[in-house]
Amino acid sequence: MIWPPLIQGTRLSPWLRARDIVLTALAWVQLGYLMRETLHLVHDYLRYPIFEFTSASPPDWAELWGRLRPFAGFVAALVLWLLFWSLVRGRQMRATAPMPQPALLALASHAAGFGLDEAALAGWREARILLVHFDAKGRVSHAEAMSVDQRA
Amino acid sequence: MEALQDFSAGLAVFCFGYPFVMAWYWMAGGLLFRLMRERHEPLPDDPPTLADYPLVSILLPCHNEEDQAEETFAALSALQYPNWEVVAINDGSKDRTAEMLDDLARRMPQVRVVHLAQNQGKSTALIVGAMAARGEILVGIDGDALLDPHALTWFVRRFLADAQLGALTGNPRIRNRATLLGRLQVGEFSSVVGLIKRAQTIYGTVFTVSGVICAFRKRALADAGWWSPAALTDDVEVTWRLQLAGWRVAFEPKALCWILMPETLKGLWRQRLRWAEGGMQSVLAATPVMLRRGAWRLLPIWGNFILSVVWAYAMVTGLALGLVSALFPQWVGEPLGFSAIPQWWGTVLALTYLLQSAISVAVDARFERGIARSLFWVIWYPLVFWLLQTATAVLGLPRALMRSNQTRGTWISPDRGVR
Repeated sequence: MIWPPLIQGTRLSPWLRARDIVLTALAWVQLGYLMRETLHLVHDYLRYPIFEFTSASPPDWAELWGRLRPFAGFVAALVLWLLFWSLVRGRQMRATAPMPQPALLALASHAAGFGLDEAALAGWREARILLVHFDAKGRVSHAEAMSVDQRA
Repeated sequence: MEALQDFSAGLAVFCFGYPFVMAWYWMAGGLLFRLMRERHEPLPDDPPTLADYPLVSILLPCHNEEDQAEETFAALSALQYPNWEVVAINDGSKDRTAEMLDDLARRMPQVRVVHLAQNQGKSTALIVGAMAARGEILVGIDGDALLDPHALTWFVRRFLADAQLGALTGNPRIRNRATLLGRLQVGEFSSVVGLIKRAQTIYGTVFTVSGVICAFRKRALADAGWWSPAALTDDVEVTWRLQLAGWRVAFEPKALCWILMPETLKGLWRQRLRWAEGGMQSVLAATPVMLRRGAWRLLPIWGNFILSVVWAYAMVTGLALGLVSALFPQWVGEPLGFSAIPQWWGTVLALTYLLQSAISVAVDARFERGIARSLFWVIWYPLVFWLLQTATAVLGLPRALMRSNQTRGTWISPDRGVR
């Protein structure tokens, strides 16, 4: 098996591939069109004489900041919240050394939760193949354990 | 009319503000997780030696998987973990799945098969599989998912290092990239799913494990009451149950699994609608328990989910107002609502999303070579794809409210993409 097992759709028509690429390129062009004023500003700023606006007027930074400031406040508060939790949970998140584990789920307790006795559930776990039956309410009624050869 | 203008302005602020603020939050969370957890970690295909290798039971619920089973088991036979078994649960398949699984059990000593006499749904299949499983650590994958050879080692390492962890969610990577929809979802899974899970792991509660690749302690599942047979999205439901029972859930990005996603609009629509409805159903079921038990640490993910649904309705209202305003300007006077074609605010949102995608690709580069190529396709997300997400969220609420608690979750034959 080739790994990673990517499926690149080799049987897909080249026309469909070309259509997807052209459509996506057009989507980028649309974004560029929506941003045409910003792109013009950037172009003007970066061409000779570099780092000067010659044909475009510089953006009104105060106005832009005024629009985004309320949202920036929320962003700052949430990032501080994340930083707080990253400090609280830092050790836990970085932990790689083994530690004492919680007690395993006891077979008897697992069986009792589904109205089975311990021996029956132990039998389930020995079986290579199991056929499970249900009652009308969707509860397990009984199960038949089989070996691989029996099933064949 | 003035009140309507104020309402429309408030709507516009919320519709821009919520995704804008959250995008920065996810970016910060993704970068912090990278800095704190991932920076010094080995690469996914180079796991360290563990002090112990407890038995891991892989639960593999199958329903009509005859086309996929051979490939799924071929990947399992390449697992690089010394102590594992597969419990394949055949949930009343109508095709040759039963015979194929029996044959695999003959050929592979680690394979055990549970046949359900009648079709019961995925949750019941998982419950019965867990009963038959010998291991304390259960790993759930789908019948069409290919588990990475080292995924079990990464899961076990994390459980051994944190006794409070009840479940881990792995890192699903999309296999099928033949079409625009497939390629678009590669970027989406990195930039949305991956970053959100990283941020949520930092504050310690996760909205959902990925049902296609997740791991549990059996004891934690017993405390949580196992999976709910009525759940439409068993993974969301069980994640909330586990956290309500006091267990923690976290993201393990190195536990990789290669999955198939829909590559038709119909298939994608059905999948996303089921996710939206199932998410809503699970949150509605968890809300009274959360309030009764005072499980306030779940409040941030609860609040974010509610806000995301309110946002979807706000978007539809804003777009409807914008349409009425454009068609009948004499009725409304000053323009109301907004257009689906991005203006200044929409363009800022689109750029923010593209930045989020670029950051996610940088974070994910260690898991998948060439992931940067997905950036070309993500442009569809801010321009069009969000409309699908919004529509499914809007429809998901009434469908979840009308769904009976007694209705069992059923298998949906998925669109598995183009080969």
